[in-house]
Amino acid sequence: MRLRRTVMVALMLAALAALALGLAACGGSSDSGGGGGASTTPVKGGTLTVTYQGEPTELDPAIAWEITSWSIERLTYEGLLSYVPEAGTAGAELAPELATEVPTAENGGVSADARTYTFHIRKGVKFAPPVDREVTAKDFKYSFERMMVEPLAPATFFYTGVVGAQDFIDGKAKEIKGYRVVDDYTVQITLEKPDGAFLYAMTMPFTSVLPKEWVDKVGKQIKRKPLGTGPFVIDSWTPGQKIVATRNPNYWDTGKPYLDGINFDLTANPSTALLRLERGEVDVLGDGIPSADYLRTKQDPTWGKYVSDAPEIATFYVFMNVKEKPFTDVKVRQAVNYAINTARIQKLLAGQAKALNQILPDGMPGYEANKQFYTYDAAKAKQLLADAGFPNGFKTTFYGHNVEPFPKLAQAVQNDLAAVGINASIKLMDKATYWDFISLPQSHAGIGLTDWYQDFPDPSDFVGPLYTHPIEGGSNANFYQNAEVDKLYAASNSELDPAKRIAMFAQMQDIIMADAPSAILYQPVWNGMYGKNVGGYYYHAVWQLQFQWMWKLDGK
Amino acid sequence: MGKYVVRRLLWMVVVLFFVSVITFLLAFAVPGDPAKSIAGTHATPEVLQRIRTSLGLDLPLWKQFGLYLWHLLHGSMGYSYETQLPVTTAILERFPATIMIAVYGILFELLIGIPVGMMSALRQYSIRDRAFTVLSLVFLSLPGFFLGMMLMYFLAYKVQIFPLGGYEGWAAPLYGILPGLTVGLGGAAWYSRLLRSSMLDILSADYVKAARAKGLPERTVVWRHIMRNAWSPIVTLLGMDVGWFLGGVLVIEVVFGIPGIGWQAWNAIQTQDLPLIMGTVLFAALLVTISNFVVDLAYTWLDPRVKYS
Repeated sequence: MRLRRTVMVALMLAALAALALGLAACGGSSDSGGGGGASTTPVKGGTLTVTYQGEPTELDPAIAWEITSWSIERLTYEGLLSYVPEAGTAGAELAPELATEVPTAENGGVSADARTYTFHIRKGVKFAPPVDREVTAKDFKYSFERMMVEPLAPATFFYTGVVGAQDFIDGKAKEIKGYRVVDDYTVQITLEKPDGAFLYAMTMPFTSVLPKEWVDKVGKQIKRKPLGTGPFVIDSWTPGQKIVATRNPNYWDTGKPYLDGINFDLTANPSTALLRLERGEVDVLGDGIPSADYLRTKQDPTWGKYVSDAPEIATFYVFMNVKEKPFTDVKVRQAVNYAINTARIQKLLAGQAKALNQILPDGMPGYEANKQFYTYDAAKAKQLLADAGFPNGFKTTFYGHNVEPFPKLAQAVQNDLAAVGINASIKLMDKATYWDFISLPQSHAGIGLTDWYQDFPDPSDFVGPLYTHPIEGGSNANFYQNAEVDKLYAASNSELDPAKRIAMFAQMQDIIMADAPSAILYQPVWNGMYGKNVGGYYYHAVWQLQFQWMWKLDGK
Repeated sequence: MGKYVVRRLLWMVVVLFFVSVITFLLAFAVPGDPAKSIAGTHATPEVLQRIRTSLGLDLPLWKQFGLYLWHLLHGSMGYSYETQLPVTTAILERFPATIMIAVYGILFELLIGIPVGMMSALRQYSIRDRAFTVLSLVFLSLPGFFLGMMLMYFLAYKVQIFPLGGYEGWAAPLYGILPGLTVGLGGAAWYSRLLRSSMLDILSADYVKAARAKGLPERTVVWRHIMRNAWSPIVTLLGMDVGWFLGGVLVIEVVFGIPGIGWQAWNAIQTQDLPLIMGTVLFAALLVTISNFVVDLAYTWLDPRVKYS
């Protein structure tokens, strides 16, 4: 009896405590109201709260390459060039950052042989405290050379065309000869041969400037203690928990940034982050809206207008290995293109996909808005298969990795292929294994799924790695090569007139689409969301979320 | 006793050695290229080769394992491929969050499981007993992520008592309650079932009847005669749980956004961060063996009949 009474009392106490806590918490809820991100007059002050599920691997500009790392890294680090800070296709245009202008043939920044680039550096740019020193040309050269010999640097291949870069990497030279410090405010970079995409490569955060004395001082800690010239400084990083950034008092662009600080909560499950945003505790969803919550949120009368959908410059597509039978036959590849009902796939992905029927996604220069290459036509697909000698279709294995949306896409494609007589069995593997698998010719993967996200908004970034020079372990899963495309691609590198150069890429695209090594499924759409108190939110074509330029409507 | 302790400790070393061999072989049996996870799908073969060389991934397997053991003997579990941090640092940085959930989980298991088990056993086949039986089955079969999301929805979103997931360190203990409750409710069901059956065995024993017959108060009968003998299975289970929870309850950590070693290991598996995977497995194995060892020692104190020699 005694026992029972004790338990009852304990339970009652617990219930009372819960009630008291509940009441206290209810009193704290608030509704900020306001006009959302549409307002265009920035307000100073305030702290932005951003959620992510997980933390960046590191913030060393030489190494980090994921877009989420970049979004945080770009608070602190800057380079010579960037992009116009605007939404839509305008965001794909080059703009100077720490350089005073974008080098062109007209302003004398690019030499007549298209091999030498001259950059003039902004005066009066200082590193953040405690370094507090003006940035000079030597810092740029140091940072570039540091990146080129960092053993884990993933992107040195963009820059090995600089004269002497390979010798420097191999330890045969003490410096990169082609990267010259002309004076304190000028650097000159000379390439072995023209590279039409070089200026774009110079926008990538791998080339950000950082001070040698800081790198020497913090040593390996540089991964978590970044220091550059950007609008914010990283104050603290609690592993797995949060990153706190505050305004850089030395920032060169006076009046910016608007925010006093940015807090990154790294523990947020995307679904609960959305609930917290609706409650006003969170300002921006770093991971976007989880697909399961997308339709509900988009159709919500209050929250629908805070959902921001933007096409990413990327494609999801079916690759066909032109070295593997029966995909060696162009008719078979075209038949697959006609057989897939891409409209149904886009419907299946509700809001996360935009129609795309060519190699270059919308927003990428060279995209041909008025062209339709293949439209869904099962009868035509059957006819082409019959012409290729497969009147009854054939059996094959369809590959993919096991992370959504791949499994969903694989099933949809399998159904469509079955309808024209191609009997495909699906084989999914884990992501890390999969990318390795399809890059090796000895895997004999004939057909499967893949995707490609831009490194920079220049069409060479799609055509080059995906449809030229197939190599073991490379990105050209189609193992596709066409002499005409190769010739045009080489020519495009020395073409100084941007309009002519883009026309060349449209021409390459037409050839590749006729050869049909890939069946393009769609262009992914980023479903972002921000809170009622956020100003200046937009999706940038390259940098995606630019927290550093946002503001709080109430300045708090 | 001293001899026994030494023998057990030596066996622990043997167990841990085999655990490390097995995880090493499993980790390397998986196809795929860690260099590709580090550098991304855009990296060229030359870049990947340079990364493999700098991490020693191009050495023969036996050499890699030899190096791994050599470093282990010198107290180093190597460096994470992804972050380049020492594996020991990476684990210890994340361990406090895992401990918090483990402490709450065990607390809730015991606070709920033991009273429920006792009440069921002392009133066998009563309505109360049957209700607890059904409830136990419900909590046993509910998947942790679902229970966690339900708790979060009702107790953090609808009624705003608790935070909506996340972790703010030990200074903010409120963050640990819901994840702890999620782990604890499932565990409490086990404890109550186990305690009920072990108490029922004892309740019909002659010495209990004798204790009651000589007019001892019920409280003394329950605590001194019944519970004293019913503890051992509970302690066994507790020993397993301590090791198991401290190894990181992955699903719960991910659902609630607790940056513990379970979540970290989950990421490591996805990026093929082999040193971190092996380090976490070894660390968890160490915890399980230690807590089992402690439990075995605890028996001697709980039950004087148990003697090790």
